[in-house]
Amino acid sequence: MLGLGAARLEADMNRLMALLFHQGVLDEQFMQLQQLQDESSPNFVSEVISIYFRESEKLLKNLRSLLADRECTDYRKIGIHLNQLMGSSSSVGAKRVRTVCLAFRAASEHNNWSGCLRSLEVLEHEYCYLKTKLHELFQMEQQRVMAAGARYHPLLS
Amino acid sequence: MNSMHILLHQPPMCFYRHSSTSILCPPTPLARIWFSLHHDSGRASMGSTRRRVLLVEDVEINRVVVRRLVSELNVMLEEAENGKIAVDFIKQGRTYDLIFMDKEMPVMNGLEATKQLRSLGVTTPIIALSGDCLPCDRDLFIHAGANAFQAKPLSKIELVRILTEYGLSISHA
Repeated sequence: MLGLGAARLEADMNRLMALLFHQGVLDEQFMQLQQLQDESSPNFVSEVISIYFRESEKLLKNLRSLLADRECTDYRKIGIHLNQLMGSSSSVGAKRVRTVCLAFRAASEHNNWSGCLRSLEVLEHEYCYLKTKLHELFQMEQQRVMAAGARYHPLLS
Repeated sequence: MNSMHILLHQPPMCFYRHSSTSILCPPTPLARIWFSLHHDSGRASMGSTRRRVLLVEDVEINRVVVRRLVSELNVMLEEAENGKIAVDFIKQGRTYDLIFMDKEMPVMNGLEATKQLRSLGVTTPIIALSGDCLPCDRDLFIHAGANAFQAKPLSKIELVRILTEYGLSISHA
């Protein structure tokens, strides 16, 4: 039986998840990831999200570099990086990040440098928000597990 | 693990011998290969219930998720990070029961890889994967020789449906 602390944390996690879904930050693909987590892969979600953070930060850094010089912007490379970021964002359910990537890609296809720069700023903001919220979620999960005193608790299962 | 296996190449019909412990391609930085440790690894589909699927996908997360999806199914998954690696695998004599082919990839994209595989005589079903799902992309892929076009990300239900549709045994491992 969960202690009061664990139960409260679980309720907080559920509220946060509901908020993220309501805001469109996450979509049902995130729930698919959760369903793939079980006792044989107890940390699957956090492992996937860690890879996502690592790869996304590399891509965002590359995008920032590619837009550093307006005269020499390689829009083809921008498109490649965006496709990768879109693909990985879709796979983890990062809906708003993916949506911003779509707008960014449209700007890059028109060689619109200022549009790309604006999109990059929005993208960095959205990514930052997502990362902050997911970190909150995983922290709450860790605290919930400790409060419940059990070895394995699937994330919100 | 050290037994020799015979692979059937589809088509033309010819026989290749491979050691189940040997790596069939040079260990290039780009070629990460996921092999099941099952002792049947490398055995042709005749006489084996374990089907071989090739996932051609450049984004690591997407490979991780599909890897997890198939882990509970009776399927052996191999991975290629781009179309050129997939084509090289085929040229080396590897055979598959199904190929998932991503659209956008560096070095060689999915469309070009599909064309090259078909020109090599590969008749393995190829399922194109794309996050966009534009009708024009679908038409291009089908014209290039893909059997079907599927939206990404792939869910477990869709994966099982596709494996079943193309005759792959999906009994749980």
